[in-house]
Amino acid sequence: MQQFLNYLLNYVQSLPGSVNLGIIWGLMALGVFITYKVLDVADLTVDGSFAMGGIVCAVFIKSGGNFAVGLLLGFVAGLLCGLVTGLLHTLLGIPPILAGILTQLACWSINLKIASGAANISVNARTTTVLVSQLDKYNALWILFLAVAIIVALLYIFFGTQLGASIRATGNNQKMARAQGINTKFNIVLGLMISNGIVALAGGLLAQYQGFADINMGRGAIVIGLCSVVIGHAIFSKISPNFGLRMASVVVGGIIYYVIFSTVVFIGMDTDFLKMLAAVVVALFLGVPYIKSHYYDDFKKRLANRKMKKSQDVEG
Amino acid sequence: MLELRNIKKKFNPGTASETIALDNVNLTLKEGDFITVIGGNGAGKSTLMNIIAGSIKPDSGMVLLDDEDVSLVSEHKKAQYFGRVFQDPMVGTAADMTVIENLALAFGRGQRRSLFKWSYRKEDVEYFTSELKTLDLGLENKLYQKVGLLSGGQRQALTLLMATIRHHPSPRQIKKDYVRFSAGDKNFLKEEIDQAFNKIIEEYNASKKEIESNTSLSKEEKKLKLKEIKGVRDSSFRSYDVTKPVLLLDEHTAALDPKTAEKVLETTDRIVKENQLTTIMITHNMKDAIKYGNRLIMMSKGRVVADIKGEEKQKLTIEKLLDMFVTNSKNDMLADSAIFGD
Repeated sequence: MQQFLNYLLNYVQSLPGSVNLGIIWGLMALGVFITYKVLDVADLTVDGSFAMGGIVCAVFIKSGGNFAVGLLLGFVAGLLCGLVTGLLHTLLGIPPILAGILTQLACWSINLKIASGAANISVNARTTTVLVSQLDKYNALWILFLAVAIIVALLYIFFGTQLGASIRATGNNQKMARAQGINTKFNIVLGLMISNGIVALAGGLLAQYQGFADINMGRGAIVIGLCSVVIGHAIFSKISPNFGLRMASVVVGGIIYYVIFSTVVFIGMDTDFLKMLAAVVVALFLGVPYIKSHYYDDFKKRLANRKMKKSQDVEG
Repeated sequence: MLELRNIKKKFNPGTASETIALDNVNLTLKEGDFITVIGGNGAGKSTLMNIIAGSIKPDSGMVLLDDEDVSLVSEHKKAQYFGRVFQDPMVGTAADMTVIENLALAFGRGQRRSLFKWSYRKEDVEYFTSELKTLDLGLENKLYQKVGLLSGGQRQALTLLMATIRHHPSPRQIKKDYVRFSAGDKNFLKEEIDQAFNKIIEEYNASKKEIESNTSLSKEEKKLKLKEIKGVRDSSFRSYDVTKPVLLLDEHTAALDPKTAEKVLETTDRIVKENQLTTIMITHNMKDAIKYGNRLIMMSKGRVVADIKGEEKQKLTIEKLLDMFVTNSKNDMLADSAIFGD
């Protein structure tokens, strides 16, 4: 009994850490949300831009720079990644999914160069000042919460402006957008830039939080992002279609994702399977509505029809 | 105002499925023309529309808008000169955005999409509501509903409104455009418009004085009356506006049930007449082609085969039109008579 209580206590103590990671990855998912849901583009740049944000931030802080400037530089690096993908798509006519993959690949080399060939760069929270660190989880929790709340609010305001509304229209119906005089190409590039900027910002936060940036830290980011988006959508879409709430639900989706994962790991699952688990979760969340509408509903109808026919045959 | 010169367009050139969509089309529209376009499938009607609006670029030839070649200008840049309604009700609106957001998007056509302005303001909402009321579909009560939840007829009517509403140019801009785009001696035009505007301002000032000196009116009543005469003044300014958009309607009622289609068509006719818009309307319905507009064009295999105007158009009957259609397109007569049979 005593042993079990200790076990439970350990788990509860690990929760703030998972929530913190959840918020950071949720912020990254917010970037994915902008491309995947608002712009209706599947952008795979994020794996590269996330790592770039982290590495740029870590390198800058390690060389003695201010953490806020480091985050800003990471953000700008993300903007540039989005710009490259956007231009590959709009100027050269490369399909967005492929354009994203190309940028992601190029990012790998660039990240390695920024890190001067090192596979990871440490940011020591004991010797340098950082915004958030896992050494002080409770402090980090409210800072991250506040930061994400501000970013969601800013995005909400942005998508309410004329420019933001025209980006939403571009993602919704390009033909209509062009007929209403909206420069869809410009908007796609702008949307990709903002999205990757936010993703890179999250990368910078993660590098500070965990105390290092890794050349591989972005791998699978798109899947985690999608995971958060679909979890958030599955849980909150029925409550309200409000745009601000939808964005908040993405972050909450990220938190739920991380809490589930840390639970699974805590129970004792092999961590090698984590990425596979992420893929399975996304496949399930995307697949279940389809299965329901295509197989299960038909099955129910067939049963009902059979029953009705039987009773009619008896009457006849 | 709008002129097509030797427009040619081939699809899939150099392949087995090469088709000539437009074969040397020439067409000149006058200010205020309402043209109906008929023709069988593959006659090139929609291609013509897309080339005018800029969604497709012609292989050769020019689209002249107020004597300026705009055939290679990208679609969004010249969108302010056109209002479009498509055949598919899904195409003309953004389904995930609300009625008011859609209208706001259309209202900003030709304007810079600013980062520092809300997509719509309070006074815009008032204006949109009053405009939606004229459609008589109850849309004014669904301002904050997503367009995806509306019926096809409601969406087409909304698209129609979106195609015609726009920011009203300032009196100064109206004056400038009047001199720039009207035919005639520039100095004379300038004098003419100045005189007209001065007269409007004089009339406005006179009635303003009258209201203000009227002691029998309360403060609120005065305010209301002043607002009213301001509206009159602004609309008389606007009657001199020569930069109204050309309305391009691509079978916009084809996907609707007959009753809704008729209502949308009547609304179309009313809006066109009220705003004196230059209009091109493609239709599959011969009756509508005859009923509406002052000019009818028949297309076949990428060519304009008949152009009927004025009195001749008024005397037109479906029988005459069918005859003409058969003689003009003997080869694909069978396929087309099946469509036009009703």
